[in-house]
Amino acid sequence: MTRSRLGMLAALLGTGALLAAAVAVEPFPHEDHSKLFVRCQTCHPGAAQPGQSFWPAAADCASCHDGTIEKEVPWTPRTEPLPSNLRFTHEAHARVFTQEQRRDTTLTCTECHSAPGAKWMSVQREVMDNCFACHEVRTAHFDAQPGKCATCHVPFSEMPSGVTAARVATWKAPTSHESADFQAEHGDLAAPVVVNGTSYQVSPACATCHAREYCVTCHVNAPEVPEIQALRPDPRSLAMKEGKIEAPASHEEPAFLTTHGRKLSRKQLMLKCGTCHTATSCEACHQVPPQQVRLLAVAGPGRGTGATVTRARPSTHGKNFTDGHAALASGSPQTCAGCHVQEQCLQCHRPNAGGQGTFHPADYISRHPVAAYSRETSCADCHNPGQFCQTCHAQNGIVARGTFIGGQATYHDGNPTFAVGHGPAARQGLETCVSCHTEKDCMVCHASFGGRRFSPHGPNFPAEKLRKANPQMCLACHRLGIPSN
Amino acid sequence: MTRCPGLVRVGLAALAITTSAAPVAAQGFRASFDLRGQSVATRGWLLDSVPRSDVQPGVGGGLYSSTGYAVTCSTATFCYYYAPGPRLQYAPVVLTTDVTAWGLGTSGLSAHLNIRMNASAADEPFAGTTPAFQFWEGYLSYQHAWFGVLAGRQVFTSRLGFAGFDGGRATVRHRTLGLEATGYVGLGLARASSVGINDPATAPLGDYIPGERNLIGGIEVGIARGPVEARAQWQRQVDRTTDYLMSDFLSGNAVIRPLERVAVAGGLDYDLAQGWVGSAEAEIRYMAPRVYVTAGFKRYMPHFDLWTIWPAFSPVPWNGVQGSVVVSPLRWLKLRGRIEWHEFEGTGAETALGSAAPTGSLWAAGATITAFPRWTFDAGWMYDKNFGAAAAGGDVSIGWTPRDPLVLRLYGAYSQRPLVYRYNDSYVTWAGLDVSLRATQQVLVGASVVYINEDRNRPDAAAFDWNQARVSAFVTYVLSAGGADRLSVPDAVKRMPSAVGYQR
Repeated sequence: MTRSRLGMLAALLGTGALLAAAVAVEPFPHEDHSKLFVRCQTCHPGAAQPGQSFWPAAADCASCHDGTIEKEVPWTPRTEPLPSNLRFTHEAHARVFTQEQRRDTTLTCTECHSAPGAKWMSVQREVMDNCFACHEVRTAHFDAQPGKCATCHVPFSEMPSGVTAARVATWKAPTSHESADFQAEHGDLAAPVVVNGTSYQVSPACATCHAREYCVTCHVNAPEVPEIQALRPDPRSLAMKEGKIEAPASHEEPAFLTTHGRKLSRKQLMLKCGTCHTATSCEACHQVPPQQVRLLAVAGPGRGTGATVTRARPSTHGKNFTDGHAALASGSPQTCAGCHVQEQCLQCHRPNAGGQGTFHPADYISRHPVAAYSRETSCADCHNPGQFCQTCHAQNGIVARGTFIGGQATYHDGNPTFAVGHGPAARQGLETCVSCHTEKDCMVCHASFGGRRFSPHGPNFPAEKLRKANPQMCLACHRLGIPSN
Repeated sequence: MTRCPGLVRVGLAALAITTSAAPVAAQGFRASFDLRGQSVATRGWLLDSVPRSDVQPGVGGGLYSSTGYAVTCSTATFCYYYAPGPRLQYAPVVLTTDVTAWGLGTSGLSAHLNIRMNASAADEPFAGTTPAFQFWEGYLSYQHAWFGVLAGRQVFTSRLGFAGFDGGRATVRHRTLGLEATGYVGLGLARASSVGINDPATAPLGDYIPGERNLIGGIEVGIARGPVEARAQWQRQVDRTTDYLMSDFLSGNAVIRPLERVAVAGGLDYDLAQGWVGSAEAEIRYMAPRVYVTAGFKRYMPHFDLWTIWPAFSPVPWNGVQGSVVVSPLRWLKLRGRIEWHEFEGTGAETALGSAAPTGSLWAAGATITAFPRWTFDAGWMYDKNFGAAAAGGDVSIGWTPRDPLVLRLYGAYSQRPLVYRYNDSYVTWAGLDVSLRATQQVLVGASVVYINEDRNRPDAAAFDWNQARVSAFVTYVLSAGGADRLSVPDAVKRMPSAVGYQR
């Protein structure tokens, strides 16, 4: 069973226990007794006098509720105060009223426990507005300024053990946590503050409800974040609803995958990326992780798992990307090298005869003439014309094995005059011709020495440049009679 | 294994020594072994002839043999035709090994090896399997913060292609400024090959080949600063026997990202030996969360080494424009479209007896639906026409991932594929099934079955059956230490969601 399910079960059990307790002990009907008591301390002497019981004794109630005057009531006074994360004590508050302000304790109880203008003994456990009014909190409870929380609440790790994990699981999140920017900005909210002259290494607002374990569920850089280390450990914090890491909006940008390493300084990398990502998450994509990755933490104890990265094809690598990636790959090899190593280039560019290639679709054999005639991509980047094209064509019996004018023209039977009119096709698709024909085939007609002297040279033929670069080519057809221009 | 050159043996020995040395701090290695095999059966063609006196006019007015084959009578005495050849059975088995080892006693020193061994379980060798032992890379690398050195057999990738050579490469870099300069020189390998241009394997038809491997060298400088990455390169190949040039190119590339969502990429190469602009392209890419648009210009110029006679045949380039768009109106729906159009430059060879359509175009559209978890539906249509052939058709695929490590894909398509210079208007229907399973983090296995049915629409007996079935299987195993214990890019990432159709 996962931790979240266990937490849910604990929360359900805790809630059930609280409901059971509420049913078993009905709240005392203060207003029904308003004409009997004129002082709160009659029943709650401990509220003003240290060492006295805070609750009335069962015998005190039984003086009326004896079964004759009034029906009996079950009542067993508590011996310990109700556990909570409140910093509040009656003794301290009573001292302020009675000793510093010299007020009557009979009246001061209602300052906290009754709404303004309420009838005598119309009391509640607490009237929070009254607390806020005195302590100058001018917002709703869950919108209070960070420093104000510590006025009434102790840090999470200092809560009495009576505040169970099940009770923690029922706590409500402050309004700020619902903000869309909360994930990105909560670090600023947790920054150290000084409240009423007291320095806090982590905002009391965070420390009130969270302990270190909770932050570690997400933060992979927890050991390096002073605010997290300022929180003390307390496993009860894990009972709270687990935080959910959502990729920032910037990660949705199509260009993010190709640019995310360029804009960040070392400090930004640590602060921004290092919060959610370990070096391991970079290695999910980067075959050879760049140097900056070394700045990120390595996954281990005391760190959260962080964002789980799944290697994904960038949006730029769409359906047609492989056909046209040459311009990007040769122009920006460093970008490609972010995720790819040369071995992967060779996997496609050095075709494997043992299976269907990863580049061409499975039926490519049946339609490769179309692509070959126009060279929609350069075949020779991956296929050696001799080893690949000629070998296959020869095995299938469709290459020229003799003179071109002989039987070989039969292959081009779709055009009766192909043999004498093949010039345009040859100049447009010479690479295709070479997949079946050798130099000897063409020299039968095109050689000026030993051939039929049909010039193969086209308009603007750079004769002089070629002769200068490699006269051997000229010698093949012209022998020693190479024209001067 | 048919050959093992001395250099290979030296490289293997060096790697064995370095990897078997006493472990030092941070020593590690990553080795991947990829074993693949497939079975393919096709019908070969057989050139045959009949005496000219034995042919007679038939359908369409052409000449036919008495057995019903349309014939071409290009000589005075005989007429020729293609008859069904023998059934050809191929069964290539390929083991690819890639090893990288580091922590060899010196920080920054690593050893790399990439080899492939081919075997055949049938009589016919499959295309690309010769020679049986293919030594693609084997080098030592030393990398320092501001410089790096590579020595051995290596592949240098650049705009000018994948240049393989046995030699050295040195790079100096300034990380702060983002500058990098590389120089390299060595004995070259043939294009897309593990052997030199003097190896008979590169000339199966017995054509002329040089007596020695060529010399290749070049310089590349690059900058990567902010939104700009740019490279410039000069590369020359020289015939060692004659000292003549085999190729001499300048090239430049740049990718600029002026805005977060915009990238502009372009490049051009210039043939110094022939004095003309080679291939070039420029494109702009716009990327928004639900829209991806590209538009650009492209020029393609074929390249032939100068030791062949092909540059003298004046191949012409084509210039074209292309654009594509991918839109996701809904999270589970992705629509795509693509248009390309190109026009060849004038050949100067048009006559009354022969011409070639100077233009070509490609139109494609498709949709991918991912409305249901673990299911991917894809459909596409494409029309592709150029001067020598055309293809039009559609394809569908269904991908299903019942459990994360297991991926199944069923696909099928139909297309019409006419040829211009041969009576061969084929109607192709095909279907296939791919299965892949990542058995463990180190092991990936898969299998594939494809059946291709091709109806050849000819008026004569040469419309013989050319159907074929292909069955293949593979297993990839990665062995590693030092933390790199993951497979390389999984197929699920490397391949398109339905990389089986025309929409490539």
